[in-house]
Amino acid sequence: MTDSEERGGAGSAETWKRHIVRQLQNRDRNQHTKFQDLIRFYTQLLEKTSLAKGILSCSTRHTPSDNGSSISALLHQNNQLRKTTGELAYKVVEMQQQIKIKESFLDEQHARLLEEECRLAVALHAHQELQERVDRVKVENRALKLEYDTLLEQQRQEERRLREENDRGVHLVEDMIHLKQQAAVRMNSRNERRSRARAMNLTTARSKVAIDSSSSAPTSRSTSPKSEDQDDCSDRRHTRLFRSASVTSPRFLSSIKQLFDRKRRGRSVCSLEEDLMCPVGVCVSARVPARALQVLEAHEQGINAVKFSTSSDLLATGGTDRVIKLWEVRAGSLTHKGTLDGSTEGITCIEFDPTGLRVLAASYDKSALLWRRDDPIPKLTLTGHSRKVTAARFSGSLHQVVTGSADRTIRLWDLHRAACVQLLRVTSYCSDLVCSENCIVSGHYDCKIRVWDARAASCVQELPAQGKVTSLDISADHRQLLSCCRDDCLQLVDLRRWSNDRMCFRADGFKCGSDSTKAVISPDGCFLAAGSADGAVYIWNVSTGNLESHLPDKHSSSISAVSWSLSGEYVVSVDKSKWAVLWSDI
Amino acid sequence: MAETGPSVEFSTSLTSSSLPPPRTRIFKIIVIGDSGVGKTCLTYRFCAGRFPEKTEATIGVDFRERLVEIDGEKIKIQLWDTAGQERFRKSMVQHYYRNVHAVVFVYDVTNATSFRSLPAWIEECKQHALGTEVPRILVGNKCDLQDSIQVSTDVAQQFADLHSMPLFETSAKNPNSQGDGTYGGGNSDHVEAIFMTVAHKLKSQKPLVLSQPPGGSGGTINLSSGVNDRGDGSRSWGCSC
Repeated sequence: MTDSEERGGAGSAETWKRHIVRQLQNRDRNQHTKFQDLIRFYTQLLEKTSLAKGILSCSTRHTPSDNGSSISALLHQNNQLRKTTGELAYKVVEMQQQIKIKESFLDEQHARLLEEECRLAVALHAHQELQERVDRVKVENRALKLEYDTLLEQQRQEERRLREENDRGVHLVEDMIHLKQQAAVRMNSRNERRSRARAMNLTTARSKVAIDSSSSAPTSRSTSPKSEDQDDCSDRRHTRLFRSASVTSPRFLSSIKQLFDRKRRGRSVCSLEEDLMCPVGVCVSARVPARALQVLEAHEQGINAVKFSTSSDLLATGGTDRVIKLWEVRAGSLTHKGTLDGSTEGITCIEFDPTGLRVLAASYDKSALLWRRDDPIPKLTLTGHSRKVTAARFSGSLHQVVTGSADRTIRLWDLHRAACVQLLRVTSYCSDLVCSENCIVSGHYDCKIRVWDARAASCVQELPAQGKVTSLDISADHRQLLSCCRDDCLQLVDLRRWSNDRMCFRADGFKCGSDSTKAVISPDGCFLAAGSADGAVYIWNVSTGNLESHLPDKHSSSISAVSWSLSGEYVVSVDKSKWAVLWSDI
Repeated sequence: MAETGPSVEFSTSLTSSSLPPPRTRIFKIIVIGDSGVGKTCLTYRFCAGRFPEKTEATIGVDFRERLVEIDGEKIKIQLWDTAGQERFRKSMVQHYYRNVHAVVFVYDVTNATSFRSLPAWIEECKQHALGTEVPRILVGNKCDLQDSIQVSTDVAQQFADLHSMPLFETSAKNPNSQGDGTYGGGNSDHVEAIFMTVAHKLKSQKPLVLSQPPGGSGGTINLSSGVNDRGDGSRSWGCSC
């Protein structure tokens, strides 16, 4: 446009042209202001761009310069990276493989775990079962233990019983052996006695043969000369059958029996020549008892009196229980043979008559009684005393009896008439009496022993004693008188001299137990026997004056009486508590 | 305690005090030996004539007696059957040997120990002051048990000779089955023969006065002439009585 205005205004040429230049300038200025900002912005932009270019150029300035090396480096880098990538990839693969392995392992582990769990469960179950079983077993065990304990206890008891039984067995064996020993001793002593008897027979036979050379009476075979006897005997025997040992010829037997009977009566050599009615005889020797053969409860109450019969095979005991018991003495033991009753009170004294067939007793019931020994009913009752009868004895003859009583009298009785024939008055209680041929000796509580002449009925002599006289005994030969006093002393007086010299026998421990304690002289006169209050039997030797033997422990209470058999073999003691003891030397 | 039957009669007869007539002599013979050798059976056999059915250990001693007639004289043979067990004899020994007339030692042929302890028994016998003056014999029992014999006859015979005793082998159970032919056998009872031999010997040996030595004129009593030849040998039993 501008170019078109300038060519049309050439005339006015310079005016129009100037206007056109100003107009143009103006437009220019307007336009220019309008774009100033833009330019400034642009320049700013440019500046910025150039700055950026500068930065860029700066950064890229040497790039183009190292281009080649950088590329190779890059390539190298690239390669390296690729390599790394490959390695990594490989690793990845490996890892993955490992993972797989691990996983399988894990699976396996899982499986095993499961399995283990199963097993565990099973085990637990089993455990539980076992636990139950344990419990059960425990219970059972407890029961068993209980059972065991009871069994143990039982066993212990059984063992104890076994021990006890064993002990008992041992005791029984000991007892048995003891018995057997006694039997052996008895057997030996029997054998010895027999051989002694044989020897004695033979000696008598020899002496007889010496006196009378002709063959002796047929009844006593042992006194015939042995050679004849033997021939005779063997002749007779040879006709018999072989070993008819048990068959015994009656003749033979009876002869032996007779022989034996005769021997029995006296138990002595000289008895053969003696009067058969008076077998008072002489005992060859009394044997000092050493052992109790038998201890028995003889009565129901205390025993006061004991006496052997004259043949020594019968014993009578009498006690407070009012009866007299007869005992057979056989082979070292007492067998009850009979009872004599009839007394209304206790028995104080017993006596056998010289034949041994009758028994006389004194009683508390103020009477004396006489029995035949085989009849329990009394044959005679002698009444007349006013107090208890303390002693009853046969005087020298068989039909006369003397009694002493607490009523201070001594009475003589005739058995044929059953009546009192004489009365002796004394000043004191009579405790015991004995009879010699023609005299009566009585012991009294006033410490005196009085000697009476039975025919004249007068007191011949008074002997002093040391205390109340409890019993009297006279020796078999009627020479010595034994008295027992309450001063615990036994006195032996020689009756032949009537002097005052006497022997006293004492012992430690010996104590006279009662007012009726009875002491005895042995049948051979060599010993004295008495029972003490302590239950022991004391035996003194007359020749030495010393205590010979002391037999304690069998009686538990005071001994009231003792008796010595006429054979000298046995002694019996009786006590206040119903016991009787048979003593012997074997 | 082992006694049954007839032996009870013996013991009761022994307790009675009715002594037999003193004419009969008594020979006390003790039977000694180990326990279980058959002493009880042997004595029972002789006294009761048969074998006991049942025996127990003897305690202490048992007595058996038998009356025999030898040459017209009645003789009581008193056998002391002693206990073999020590605990059952204890304090009894002295009683056994007291006044004994003969000793019979017994052993068991089927038990060598019982034979070996014989010297001890013989020693005990000697100790009790018997020495050799008392007739002693040796008996081997149970010889019916032929299969289990432990002690031969030869050995026993030697022993017996050494101690100068006659030897017998027998059986209390079956005395007829005597193995040794020298003793005749036959139907006789060997146990009886043994004791009868002893009795013969005792009778021939002992004068009639037993306890007292015949003083001075004692020769009048010796009546044993004519029997001396019978008792000394073991063969003499055959014609006993």
